[in-house]
Amino acid sequence: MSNQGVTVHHGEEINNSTGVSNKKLLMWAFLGSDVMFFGTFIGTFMAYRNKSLNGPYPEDTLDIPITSVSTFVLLMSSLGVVLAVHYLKESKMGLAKFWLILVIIMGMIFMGFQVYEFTHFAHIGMTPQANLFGSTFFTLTSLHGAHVSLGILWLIFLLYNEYKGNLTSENAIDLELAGLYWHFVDIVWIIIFALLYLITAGDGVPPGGLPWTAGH
Amino acid sequence: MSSILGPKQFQIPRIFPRPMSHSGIWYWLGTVDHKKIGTMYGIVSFFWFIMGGIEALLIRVQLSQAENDIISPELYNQLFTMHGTTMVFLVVMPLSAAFFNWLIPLQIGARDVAFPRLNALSLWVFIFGSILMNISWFTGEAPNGGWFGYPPNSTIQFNPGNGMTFWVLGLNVLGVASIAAGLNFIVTIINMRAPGMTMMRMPVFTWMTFITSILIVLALPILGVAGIQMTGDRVYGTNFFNSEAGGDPIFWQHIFWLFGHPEVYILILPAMGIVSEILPTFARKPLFGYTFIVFSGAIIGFMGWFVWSHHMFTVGLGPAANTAFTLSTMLIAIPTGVKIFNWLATLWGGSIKFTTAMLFSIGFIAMFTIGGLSGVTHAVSPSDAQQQDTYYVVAHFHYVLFGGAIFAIFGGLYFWWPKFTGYMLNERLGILNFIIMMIGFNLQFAPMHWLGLDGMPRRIYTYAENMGWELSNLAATVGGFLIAFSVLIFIINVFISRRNKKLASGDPWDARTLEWSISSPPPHYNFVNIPQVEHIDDWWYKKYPELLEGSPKQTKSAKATVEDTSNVDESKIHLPDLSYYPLFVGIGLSIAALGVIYSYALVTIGLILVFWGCIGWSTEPVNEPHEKHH
Amino acid sequence: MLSNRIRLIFNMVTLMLLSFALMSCTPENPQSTFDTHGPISEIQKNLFLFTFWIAVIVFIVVEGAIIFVTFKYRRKNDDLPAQIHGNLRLEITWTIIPAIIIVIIAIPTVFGIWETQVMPDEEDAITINAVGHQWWFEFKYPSEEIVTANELHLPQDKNVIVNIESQDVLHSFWIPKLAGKVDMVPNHENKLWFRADNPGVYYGQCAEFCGIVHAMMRFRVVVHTEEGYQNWLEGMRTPPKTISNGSDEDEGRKLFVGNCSMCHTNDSYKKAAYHKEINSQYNRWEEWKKDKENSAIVSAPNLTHFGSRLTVASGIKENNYENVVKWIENPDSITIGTRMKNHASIYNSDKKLTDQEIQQIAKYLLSLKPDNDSMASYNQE
Repeated sequence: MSNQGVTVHHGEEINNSTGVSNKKLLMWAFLGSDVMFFGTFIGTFMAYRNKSLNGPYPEDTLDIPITSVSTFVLLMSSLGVVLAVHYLKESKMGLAKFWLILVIIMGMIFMGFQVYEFTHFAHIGMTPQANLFGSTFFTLTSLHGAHVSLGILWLIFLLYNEYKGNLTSENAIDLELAGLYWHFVDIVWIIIFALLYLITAGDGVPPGGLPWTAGH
Repeated sequence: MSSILGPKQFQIPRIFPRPMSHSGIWYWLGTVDHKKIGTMYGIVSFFWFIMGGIEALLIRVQLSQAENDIISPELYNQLFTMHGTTMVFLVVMPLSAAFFNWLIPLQIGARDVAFPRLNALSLWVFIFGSILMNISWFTGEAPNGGWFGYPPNSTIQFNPGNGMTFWVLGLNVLGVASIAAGLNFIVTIINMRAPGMTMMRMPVFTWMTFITSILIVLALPILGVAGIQMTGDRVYGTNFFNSEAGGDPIFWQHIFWLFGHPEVYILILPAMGIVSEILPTFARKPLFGYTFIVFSGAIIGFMGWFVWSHHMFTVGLGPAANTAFTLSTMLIAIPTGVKIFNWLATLWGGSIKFTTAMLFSIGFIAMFTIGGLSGVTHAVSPSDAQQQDTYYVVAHFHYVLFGGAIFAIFGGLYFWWPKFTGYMLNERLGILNFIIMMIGFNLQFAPMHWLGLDGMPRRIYTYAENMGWELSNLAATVGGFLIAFSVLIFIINVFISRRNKKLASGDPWDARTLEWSISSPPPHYNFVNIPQVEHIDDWWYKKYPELLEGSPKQTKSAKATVEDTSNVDESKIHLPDLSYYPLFVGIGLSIAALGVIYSYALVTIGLILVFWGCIGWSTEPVNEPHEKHH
Repeated sequence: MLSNRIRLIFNMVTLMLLSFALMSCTPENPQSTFDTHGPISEIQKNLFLFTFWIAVIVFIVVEGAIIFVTFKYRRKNDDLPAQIHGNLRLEITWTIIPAIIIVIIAIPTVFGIWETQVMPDEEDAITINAVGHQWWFEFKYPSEEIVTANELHLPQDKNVIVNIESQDVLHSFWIPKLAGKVDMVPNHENKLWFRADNPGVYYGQCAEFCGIVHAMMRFRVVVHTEEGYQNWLEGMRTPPKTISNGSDEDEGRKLFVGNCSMCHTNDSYKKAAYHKEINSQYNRWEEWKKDKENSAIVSAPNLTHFGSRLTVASGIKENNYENVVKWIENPDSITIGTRMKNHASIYNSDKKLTDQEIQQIAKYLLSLKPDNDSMASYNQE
């Protein structure tokens, strides 16, 4: 058997068992991992709900209407990503760029709301050090914020490449992956908004005190 | 993430030129070759194996007699904490990763893993994370809260200083490395298989790697969260585990063991995979019940998520929870038992050659069985109330993790050494290595069963004279030194093999899977021709086509031989070029983590390194376009 | 090669048997889980032995098969053996067999869980609050209003319910011969019950890693006859023997009041002393938390009737004159890292005690026992 002339390539063109690109599989697997990450933080929040020994309690701090606005903005940005990917695939670069810019702006608005909210909370004494509510609330929301910020940076990087002409319909997958990530971060926010804000907002002083401090 | 490949590729300005040489230190620092990465994983984790072993020996010296005072209680607590942490996170996991790296692309017929640079990142993050954790020895504040880090004893309130902060940050950095590697191997195994290699034709080791990778990807984030929470508590004053602010110490135990029990299977499943490769090779029989072995592995991986509270039978969960976790724990014995019987049936009727690798594998079955059976006695939660936190538990998990994982890893080293290096290890020394390790291991850990049942708690730096524990402890210490001696024999063996240069053929054991169809050591592109896979153990049937049912005695083509690389035109080989960005991201991450302890300036420097590395990485083409083929 | 293997297996087996044989004939095993003296440890032991013998059978089958296979099927020639890929019937069989074994083990186990972990009727039982401290045990008898430390006194044949809690970190309450352990967790109230069938002294030890002195956190359980228990209770409510003015003991008393009494209470025999002690202990704890480095005050064992105790330094040393002197002189000579050494002003300021003063305190402490000392018989042994 002669091996003369064999071209040895590394990459997907030789072995691709499923037909799905490696990058996309990686992103899905990563999101699966991230589910466990957020899941544990959310679990912590729920386990420590109504366990704070002192205030400020959720009813003193959370402002549902304001957060609803930022939630709405973030959810709408998901639609923007879908359109940005769609137009990129159709090589309508103008629209693709427009939607991408809009998504980035909406992400930044969301982050602006979060910065406002955090400073406001800190102002009224709700800090990560204040009590269990503060610790669980801030770690979860700030790490979600970190995810959003990372997403914004990623999208800016892609936008730059669109302007440079490096990101075209041929490698639209790169934007698609960022979009996948963006959707995931949005879905996590829906859960956070439901559990950390809507359900918790009315919590005040734990009813009957803590089970283990009652007898002391 | 792979780069955006466009004609007008933007690259950030390079500070250093991209390394291009194929030897020397720059090559090793920039390599993205899975085989080189595997080798570095192996060397570094073997170094930590020796360190963890020295820690263990110091523990054993201190316990060799009653009321010994060679080692102070402070140092003792640091030693057992770092021994456990080192052996789990810096030895067994990365040694398994060394095997994953070396073998997975070879076993599935690929030229590399799916993301070679991500793979390099895992390596460097692991290396610098392990250094980060051990820097604490030099600051005099090594972690001292146990490898499980139970609060409140690990909180800043009861454990001031930086020791446990080093520990928790080290774990978080190592977690990044593990998750990155896990993701990489999931994609590699799903997507990079050679044509014809369906999932149910994959070697068992590949299967176990796949399951392990899924467990890593799902379990390590939980540890990451626990680590972030504890870092918050220790450094920034949050209240997660501060019992004075209402924080619940039991909550830490839940999340730690929710990670920790899948972690146990992360440690043992690769070992089971290794053994499942070695046994059929030296029995010259196919693995008995491939499907059963694969599925019981998958079931173990799945059920491992529902048993975590058996580490907490004595924390007062109540009879209902204890019953549930007792039953789920007992259930997991069934797929484990199935594996053991299948391995035995593989040997049954075989033509067994007792090489060192085979002896270690048989030793694995024998010792793992003991560990499994003592595990069942733990599952009986009422009697576990007597065993919990005693030396009986120490005996149990050393039978599983040393008699299990480490035996299998040594078997794997002897088995694949010729493939890794091209040289044979000395079998005579190998068998001596096995015998002494076997005796030493049993001498060290068998008496611990008795010690535990006789009421000796774990993690005590000394014990009173009248307790009746002296003799067993002395025996254990002697056993510990025998193990150290056997490891020394292995190291000597490695050096002798280097000097004697007894060359290995591509397929010295007449083995079964694809990695043996290429030369030893494999060329950097692995396969000249990507194999077309038709069976489980494809290489075996290519060598013995007459074994296939329904095939004529004389097949058309001659029996397959190891691939010949002499005529390969190197100029036509395209493999990813070297990249130093993973190295810098790895360094940056550890510097940032160190900064959490010492100063925000370090955090900033670290994050800048990470950011620069990531941007550089994602704009760097896989191959330099202007480059002439080397 | 073959002889190597035989020797290896032979060595292994003899070593294991030998070590087990040697170990099982050591004279004293005060924490043996096999020498049970109550129904809880009995259930736990029997469940263990039941599982153990089943495990032994499995062990013999599996290891026997390994030995058989390694002898029978070693390579004799280059012929390929029969290529068998599996046998569904066999594999299903050995899936079902472990399942059956598991069921056999699970049934008594589940019964055992409920028998041992469901608390008996409180009316027929005495209730004790056990509190873990770094690094000693506090025992409170709420119905008797008695508080003591590091030595638990119980009547025989009576159910005991222990409410288990911790003030600081995790500890574990464990008396191997009477009952398996239950962890002491801050913010959680755990419960354990047991019954002692025979009078005697039993060893207890903390089993959950709790910091630097973890190894030295031990206690004793003294099980009395019903009559002896009543005597002990009575003793705990009576003042100690009077000491004559000007004696060493009296000097010791003064020194104790001046140097030790802000952390150690020794007069809990008095009326209403129980709640006072609970409060003082709480205040000491709060005081210590304010400045954990430099506080001169820290939670400390109650020393009422210390003279009748069996041990000094939380169950480590026999309670005699030399050991008490040694302990007061320098706690590090017995246990490194104690709170007493780190916080008491007699070690950390100019107020150091002279040898004579230490001896006087020791004499005073050992004189603290009631007239009808129920422990006299034990102390003589």
